[in-house]
Amino acid sequence: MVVEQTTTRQLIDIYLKAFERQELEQCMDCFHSDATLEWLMGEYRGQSSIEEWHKDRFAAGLKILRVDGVSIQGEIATVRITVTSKRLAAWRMPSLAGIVTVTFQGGKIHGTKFAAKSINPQQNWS
Amino acid sequence: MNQRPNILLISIDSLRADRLGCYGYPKPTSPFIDSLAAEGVVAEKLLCPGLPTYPSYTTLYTGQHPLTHGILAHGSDAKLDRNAPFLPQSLVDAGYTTCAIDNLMHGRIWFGRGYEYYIDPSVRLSFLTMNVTCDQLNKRAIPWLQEHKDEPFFLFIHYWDVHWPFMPPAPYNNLFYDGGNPTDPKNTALEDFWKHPLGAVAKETWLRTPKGPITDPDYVAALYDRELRYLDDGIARLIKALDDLGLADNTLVLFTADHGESLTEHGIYFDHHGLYDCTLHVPLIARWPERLRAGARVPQMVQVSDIAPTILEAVGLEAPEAMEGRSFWKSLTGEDQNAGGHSRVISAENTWQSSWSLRTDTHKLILSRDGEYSDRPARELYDLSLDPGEEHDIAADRPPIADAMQAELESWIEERLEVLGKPSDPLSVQGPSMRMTLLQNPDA
Repeated sequence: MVVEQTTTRQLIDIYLKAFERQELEQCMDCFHSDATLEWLMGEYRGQSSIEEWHKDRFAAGLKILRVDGVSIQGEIATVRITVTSKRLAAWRMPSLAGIVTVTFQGGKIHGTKFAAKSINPQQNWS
Repeated sequence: MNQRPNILLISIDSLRADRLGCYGYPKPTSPFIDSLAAEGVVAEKLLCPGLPTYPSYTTLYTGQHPLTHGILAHGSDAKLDRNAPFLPQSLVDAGYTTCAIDNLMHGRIWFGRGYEYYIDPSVRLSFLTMNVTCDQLNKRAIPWLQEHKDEPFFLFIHYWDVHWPFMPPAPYNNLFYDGGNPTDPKNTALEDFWKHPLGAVAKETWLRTPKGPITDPDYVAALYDRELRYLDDGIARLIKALDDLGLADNTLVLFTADHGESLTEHGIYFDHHGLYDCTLHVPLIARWPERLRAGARVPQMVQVSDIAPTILEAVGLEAPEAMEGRSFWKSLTGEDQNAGGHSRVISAENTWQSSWSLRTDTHKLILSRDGEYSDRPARELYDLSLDPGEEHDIAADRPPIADAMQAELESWIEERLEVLGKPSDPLSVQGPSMRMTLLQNPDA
């Protein structure tokens, strides 16, 4: 069990590092072929769709500002992160905090869901 | 029974009138709201003097035109004057127990004025505060009604279901769309929307499905209608709870909206800007079985700034002098068919566009103040009697009408600025707040 959790944690670390460096191939290596990715209210299913999401996010300059915590229970990991991007900045949101729930299958990410904390998109327009 | 009538003010963010059955929509989006209309009075032409949400709700509460209260845009640092009249303040001063079930106060503090109770279930949500559902609001509203049923109360509920993102719950998923493939990659009808900052975000979030982005605008419009049908069921539960408490006869129920929604009309996609009737024309239904005639309709133009004085007259209170709106209460009761009507309605917006409009019963003139940000005609003119959809701009064909209306509009603005002691037209000075920052920003 300890070995399995370490592997899961390592996979998360590998992915976060690859994302930070915008290494598309390394990122995609972390995903299962049937993986799904839920980003805010949108859903991306399958490798090519998830690859498209990564390209869009890299183009938008999405960066992980900090990882606020990682907890792992069996095949589910919860990662608390704060992100920023050029688009968020354009909308006067300097950062966006949220929780990423990750599920694993066969040593790969099978599902990932980013849920942001409550925001009012108009609150900084003053 | 309380001496003073209770007031239940229901406002739906982004609900255009013509999407309701009682305003002529052929699809069954609103069976309960239609039944409410049949039990009460319908104001056929309620128009918004200001867009979008903050300007319009500030007008609703103050009974003032946006030029007077100064809240003309979302992206501005304007603040409401502390001495501005405010409907909930008038009511709490008169002994009402006041409650808002709403979240506007978190964006602009004045929306909390005069409320003894301010309940915001959206603080529990992840992501957007406007994702709060009618069920979540009712879960707070109905117990509040039960607890305060013996006090004269003013309860304001602000529902967000038909505001984007349109994400109706699963039981409504198959309504109002006749088939086809909503994610057909060959359909390019939303290409212009994807270029707008709101569209760019929508494409990657709420319009993104496992099969790809939604590409059929008719499907997005169906999502709007589904949200409305879901909301209609929620309103039914709220009104049933009110009636079950035995409060129907002594409660004025007012159902309205802050602004409408453009569902692709005029090249505006699933948002509320542009001074066209799809965005300016909102519903108003009043039910009070003891005082109002079931099934009556008020045909004249009234405006959102008239609502506060109308409520105050209904409950026997005098409107503060600084409220500019005119009560149309007597036209709702049938005592005076012409009470409160306007022959002219002037509207302004300064968020995604900077524009003024002057609307009569037969024509509308739209005057752009976009200046360097403009991609629209300097002025547009529509003959509403022949072209209610405002599809054929006749400004170039009918210069005498356009000139006369423009002169009347400019004169009104000039006179109002002088009375208010304001040096210049704020639309020209400030420019369209979000457009300036977002449309010019390639990162948005």
